[in-house]
Amino acid sequence: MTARPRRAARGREVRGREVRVRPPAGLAVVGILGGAALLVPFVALVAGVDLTRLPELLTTPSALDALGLSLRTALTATAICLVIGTPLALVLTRLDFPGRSLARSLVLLPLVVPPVVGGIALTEAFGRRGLIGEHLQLLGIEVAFTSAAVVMAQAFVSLPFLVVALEGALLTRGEAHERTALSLGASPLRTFLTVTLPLLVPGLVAGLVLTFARALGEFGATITFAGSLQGTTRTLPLQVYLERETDPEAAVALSLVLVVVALVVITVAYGRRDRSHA
Amino acid sequence: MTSLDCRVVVPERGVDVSFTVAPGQTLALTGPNGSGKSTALSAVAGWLRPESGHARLGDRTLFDEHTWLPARRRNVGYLTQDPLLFPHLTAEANVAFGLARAGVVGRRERRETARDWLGRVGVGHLASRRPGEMSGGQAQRTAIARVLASGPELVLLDEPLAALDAQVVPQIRELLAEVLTGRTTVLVTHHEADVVALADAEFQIKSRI
Repeated sequence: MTARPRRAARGREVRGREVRVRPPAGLAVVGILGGAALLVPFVALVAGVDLTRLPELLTTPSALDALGLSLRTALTATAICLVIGTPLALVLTRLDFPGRSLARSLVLLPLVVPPVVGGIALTEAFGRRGLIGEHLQLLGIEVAFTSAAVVMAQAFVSLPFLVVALEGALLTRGEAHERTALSLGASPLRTFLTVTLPLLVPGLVAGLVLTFARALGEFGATITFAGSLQGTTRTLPLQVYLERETDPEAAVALSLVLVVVALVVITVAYGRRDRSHA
Repeated sequence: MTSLDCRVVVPERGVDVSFTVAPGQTLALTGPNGSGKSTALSAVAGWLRPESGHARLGDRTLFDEHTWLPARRRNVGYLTQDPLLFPHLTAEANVAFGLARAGVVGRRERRETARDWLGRVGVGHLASRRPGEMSGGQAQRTAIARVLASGPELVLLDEPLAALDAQVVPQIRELLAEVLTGRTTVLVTHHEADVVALADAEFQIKSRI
């Protein structure tokens, strides 16, 4: 008779709540250790920052250049992904055409290939001697090794994040609300603007946040396709990599900035999700 | 007032149903699950394209072998057991959504008409609520107002009371009986009480097996 209250006190079966099905003890230990292993490097990073030098390290001209460039390019890339990714997600979920499932897998390609391969592919397409770049060259347009190339590399690798998020949102919601709008006499455009789009907002926000985070962290495709010129193509991750050789403390300080941004992103994207599932 | 004459054939669902509804009358479609009641309504609404068949509403062809009128041009109101209110809009905005088709022009007129309709279905006090803040019965009342406010020539009701709490069913059935009077309507239902209260005629689809 005394066992029951003691268990409740240990936080097992909570009175007034459903009984949880917990993982076996052994698995829980492995899981908790695994979680700790993920966090250790970040703890070490924070511990490695010399707080007294932090303001000085983050305000050098090269650091400010990199930070400004990163924010500008990542925001632009995110905007481009929004404009391209939304119609693409609609095509992939709401349009029946042969090879649709193949197309849906191909969209994931930039996410799956190593970013450096993405950079090589972009160079082959838009580089000076590239498939399209050659013709652009004739028109006097050069993209490789410019800030535009940074934006292209970032948009290229992060577009799948937005498309996948939107596909998920579109598929889980189904089409019944849109059909209802059409049955009430709304045109396809009005239905899209007043029903589809507003219903898509939560998925869109989560997708955009992840897209921005991926664009901000882009390294491999950027350095391959756009190079590393201060103020033009040297984004924050590239700056971190460069500083690592010359001033490790500066590299750690700049890394901290990226970690803080990532934490904000996770809070915005997943905090919302938890609330909507509550 | 308009009559409906239709035949819906969907072989992969084993559906071949034909029926007619006289102008201003309510036809109850009954029959076992899977007999094609809902499939027939979806086809007439324009939500499902049948393999063959036809639907004529008065002198307009909704579909036949050669024609397929999209849902937005059919002027057919469709209400399912899920009210399918737009969750981001208030009750008033939900009802106002279909008023353009009914020829109500001007923001103010639409607002007033939407409020009138909400009053008629007994939820006038909920005009500024969103669907998430309504009970199932209130949401279905709002959906009834929305579908009728859009001025449909034909009303399709697919088990409109099936998802409601038992104690509100009689009130909403009464409301339907009142607002459907004189409208050409097809009602899919499992319940004899609905047939008795709402229908002028009953068509029982036989089991295929």
